[in-house]
Amino acid sequence: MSLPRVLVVDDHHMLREALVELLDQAGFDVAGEAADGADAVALAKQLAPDVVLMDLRMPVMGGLDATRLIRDACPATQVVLLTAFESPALQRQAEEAGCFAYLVKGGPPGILRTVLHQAVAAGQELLPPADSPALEA
Amino acid sequence: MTTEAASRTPAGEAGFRLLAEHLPNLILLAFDAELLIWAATGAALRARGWTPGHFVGRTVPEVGRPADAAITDAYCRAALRGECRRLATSGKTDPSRLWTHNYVPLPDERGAVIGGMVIARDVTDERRAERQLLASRRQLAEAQRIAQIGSWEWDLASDELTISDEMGRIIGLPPGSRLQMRPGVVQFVHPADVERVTAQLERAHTDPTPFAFEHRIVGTDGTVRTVLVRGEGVVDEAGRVVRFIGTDQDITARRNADAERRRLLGRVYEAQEGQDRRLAADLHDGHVQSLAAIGFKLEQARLRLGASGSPEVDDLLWQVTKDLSTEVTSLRRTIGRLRPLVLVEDGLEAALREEAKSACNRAALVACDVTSELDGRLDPVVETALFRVAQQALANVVDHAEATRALVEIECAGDGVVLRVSDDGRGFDPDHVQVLADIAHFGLIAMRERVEALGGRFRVTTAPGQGTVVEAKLPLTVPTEGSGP
Repeated sequence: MSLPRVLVVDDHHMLREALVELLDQAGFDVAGEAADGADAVALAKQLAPDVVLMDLRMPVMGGLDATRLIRDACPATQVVLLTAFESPALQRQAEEAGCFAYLVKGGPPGILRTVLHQAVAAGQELLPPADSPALEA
Repeated sequence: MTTEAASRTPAGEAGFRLLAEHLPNLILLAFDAELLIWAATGAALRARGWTPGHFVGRTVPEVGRPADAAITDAYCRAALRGECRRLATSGKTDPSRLWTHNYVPLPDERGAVIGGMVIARDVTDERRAERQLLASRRQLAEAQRIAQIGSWEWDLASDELTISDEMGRIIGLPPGSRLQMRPGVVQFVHPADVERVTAQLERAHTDPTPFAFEHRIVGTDGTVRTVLVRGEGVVDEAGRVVRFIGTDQDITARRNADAERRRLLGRVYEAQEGQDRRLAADLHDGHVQSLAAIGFKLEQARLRLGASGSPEVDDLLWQVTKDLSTEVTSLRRTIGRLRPLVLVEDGLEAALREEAKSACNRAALVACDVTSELDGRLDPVVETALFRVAQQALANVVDHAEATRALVEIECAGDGVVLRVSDDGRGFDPDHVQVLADIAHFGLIAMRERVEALGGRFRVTTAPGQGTVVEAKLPLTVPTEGSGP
């Protein structure tokens, strides 16, 4: 069985590097990395990953716009938003953009891996995002 | 006294005496062509213990002050020629008394001058009263000038307005000006205030109740001034309002100072918000990201250790990762306080709900409800100010109130929005707090300044054991510089 393929998108170099190493260690295949939304869309179309781990605020193109484009181009690819912003409005916008989950940076250890696995499962089983138990309120 | 003069006096001596008896401070001396006094009478004469005998048979110059003898002689002779003369002098026996002597001709029935009369009047008290009146008027005018308070009297029937010199100065009219209330005065009212002032004038016709209000005037030189008008009606026996008396105080300097203070405070808060935004951005873009990265690395370390690592090290790493997560959460809250993202993204109501939730978590509050009449977003500056007031008020509830319930309300009130934070806590004595530096501790001064800087009103209603209500009303739009009250 192949490893779940993840595209890591974050403009903060140190955080992106840590995420790549963690996911690599945790049994994910980090298919690619991007530092802005536009590169993320291009890579997602090219790599068709199972999940995109997406930052919210980035140069060139933000995470929400990138999510919309990725969800349009690659419906099977799930997007998990990972941001330092906590806001009900942003959470709502993320849901509307088609995000599988909205995670806050610095959250409890382990939650990221759990949600990524759920996202992979959702993509494989073609579960609609609304049924996802991981979309945090 | 010559028989001829007495007999030819139209009123006769009796009439002459009767006249003098009823005029206070008066001495009447009748003299003939030789200036000899033939009659002397008057209330002032008796009041001084004199008798006609003191005067009758002597010449007029003889009974007066020696210094006045020559002029008295000349004036008596002028009277004999049919002319009138007036002399202001002092008393002979009491130089502190002031007298006026009128020298008038005394005609017979055919109009021929047969003698003269000196009408001497003691005007000491009158002059003193006049001087006092003049001094009082000067003092009043000076006081009005210094206090920049003009006075006025408005006669409703004629619509005529009598104004003091200072009132004239405030408007830009010369001293002694009289004018009609409409359109004379109304034309000086600032166009933006005309409707309000006119409504007040209309009310005045039937309501004599004292009033006070502020408005702007545009002087004859185009200068805009702010005046505080105070007035009170005067009613006749039938209870009808017949006139109004009142004052206009020029509070332009005070209002300008207030506006300048508000402007500066606005800048201070603007700078503070800017600084908070920058700090929040630094913390968010730097520290939170780095700490999150460290958390992921710790998580990675645990995974690497896996089953081969000691359980103690694994537990330690797990605990450190959890602690780090807690610290990042705390840091995010700090960032949220510095720059409330929920306020920026979701608006005031959502931000207040977050604050209310946070207050409940931090205090023994059973409930902290939020109600809002808002439909849509407000001016960002107004939103931020109201949010900061609510934030401070809720912090007070958490730290001091010992309340079980709190309520945050937003009401729309015409051209303004009202924020009210109330609690059922222990309250406090506002007078006591005013005296103590506690007022600053409670953040009340900062809240008031913040609201007033935007042209709003701030009020705290509280009493020991009665809970506290903090109320802030702000205009929907931030006043621009140069706009009036």
